[in-house]
Amino acid sequence: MKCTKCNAKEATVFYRENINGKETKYALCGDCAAAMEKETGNLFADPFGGNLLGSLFSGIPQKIQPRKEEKKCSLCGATFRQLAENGKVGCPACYNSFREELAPTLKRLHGTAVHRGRAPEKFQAKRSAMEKLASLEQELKKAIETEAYEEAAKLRDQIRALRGQ
Amino acid sequence: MLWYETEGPDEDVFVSTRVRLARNLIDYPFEPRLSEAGAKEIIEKAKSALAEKEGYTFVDFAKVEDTEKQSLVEKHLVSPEFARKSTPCAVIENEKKQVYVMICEEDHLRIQCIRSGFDPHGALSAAREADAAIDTSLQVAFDEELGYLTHCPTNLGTGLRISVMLFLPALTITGRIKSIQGQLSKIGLTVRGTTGEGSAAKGCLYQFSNCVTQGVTEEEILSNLREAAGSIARAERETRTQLLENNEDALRDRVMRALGTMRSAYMVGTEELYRLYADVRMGIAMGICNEIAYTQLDSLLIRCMPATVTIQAGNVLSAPQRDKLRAQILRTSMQPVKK
Repeated sequence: MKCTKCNAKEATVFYRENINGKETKYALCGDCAAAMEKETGNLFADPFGGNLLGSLFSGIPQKIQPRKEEKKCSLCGATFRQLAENGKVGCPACYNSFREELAPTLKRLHGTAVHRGRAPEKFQAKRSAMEKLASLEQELKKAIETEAYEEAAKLRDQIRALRGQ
Repeated sequence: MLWYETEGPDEDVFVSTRVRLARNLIDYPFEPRLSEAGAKEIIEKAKSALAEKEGYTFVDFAKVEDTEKQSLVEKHLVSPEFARKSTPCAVIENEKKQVYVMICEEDHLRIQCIRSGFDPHGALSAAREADAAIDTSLQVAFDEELGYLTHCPTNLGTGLRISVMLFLPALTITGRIKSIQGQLSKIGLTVRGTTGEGSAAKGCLYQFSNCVTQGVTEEEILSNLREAAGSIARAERETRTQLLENNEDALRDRVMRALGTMRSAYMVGTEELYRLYADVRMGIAMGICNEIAYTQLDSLLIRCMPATVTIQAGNVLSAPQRDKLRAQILRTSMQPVKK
């Protein structure tokens, strides 16, 4: 079989690429395979290693040259490039250091990027206060709409007190 | 008692339910950035949070023999990746509650609870107890917007993964399993083989678990899984009835031959064991061999796994020696009870 790229030499490297379900097959000669690997940098990446998930990380163009002042995680020193390569973060603080960069990936993985499940005890109190605040604001809106101003004034005081805490 | 030695709900379709909570400590990086000293500190912290609690025992995994580690994998108590680790790691177990906390796995702490049959609620409650103890005494990495922070973003949020091991012989024989697998992926569930990612389904055993861990509550994950599990169980039971109505003689023959082999064979390999297990388990489910209990068969499967067999022998065995000992265990355990 001839190389599908140069169509001259015999193909010795067979490579299948699957990006978001779109499959592309390559049959390449040694020279074309080497050229392609140089270009993409991950032709022979382990499909079960970090790179599979690494491809999930978006916002990192294929051919960026490392900048001198690349942003690093405040705790572990990892760069977003390293996160993308491994498909995993370097430490828990990476999520804060690269919040914006990670957002599209998390949205793609989980559909939404806001936690709704359980929280450690110390966060629970804060969370219930926030929920109470949201419900009072809703009631206030309704009170104003129905011109129940006395009730609205009471609600406003409660909201102020809660916010002041 | 270990999970496979106890009876569980809906055992005809469900072999086990495993719940896993991924938790991490702030101030410590993940591997490979985690130093040996850091790993040891995490182990000490987890030990102080849990090991002193009643019912929990600390096991330094560095001191555990390789065969023993492999046997724990065969019993589904630790992950294969964890058993292969050469850096400091430990387990804190509560055998009574069937809770096993792996320390320094992919995440700093992985709280697992495995129960017999379909019991996601029981398993989650038991895991939560260990989670609460960790939560109060250690600084767990949590973000109000993102939830529990994990090494891999796929576990972020609740950090909760529920895996159910299903026994689906009728859906396998009829080939209906393929369309079910496709449907499950559409509702955020993933299906894997018997021993985890990338493995084939041996013994008609399939593992399915939730993919989405963030943006949903633990209760929603549980109820989504319960609903899917219910539909699969219904489909499997209906198919079993149809199969039995149309092919009773052939099925009886298949089951009794498997039982006969278990009771008489002199050498049995692991692959054959899985086939025999599936046929006999199907026989119990279809009422063909009522004298055998699911627990008896499920625990036999685990006791006959390579590393667990080796431990029972007390010395290193060659593959043929293992097959011989396996057959001996099968013969002894499967003899009909004299009435």
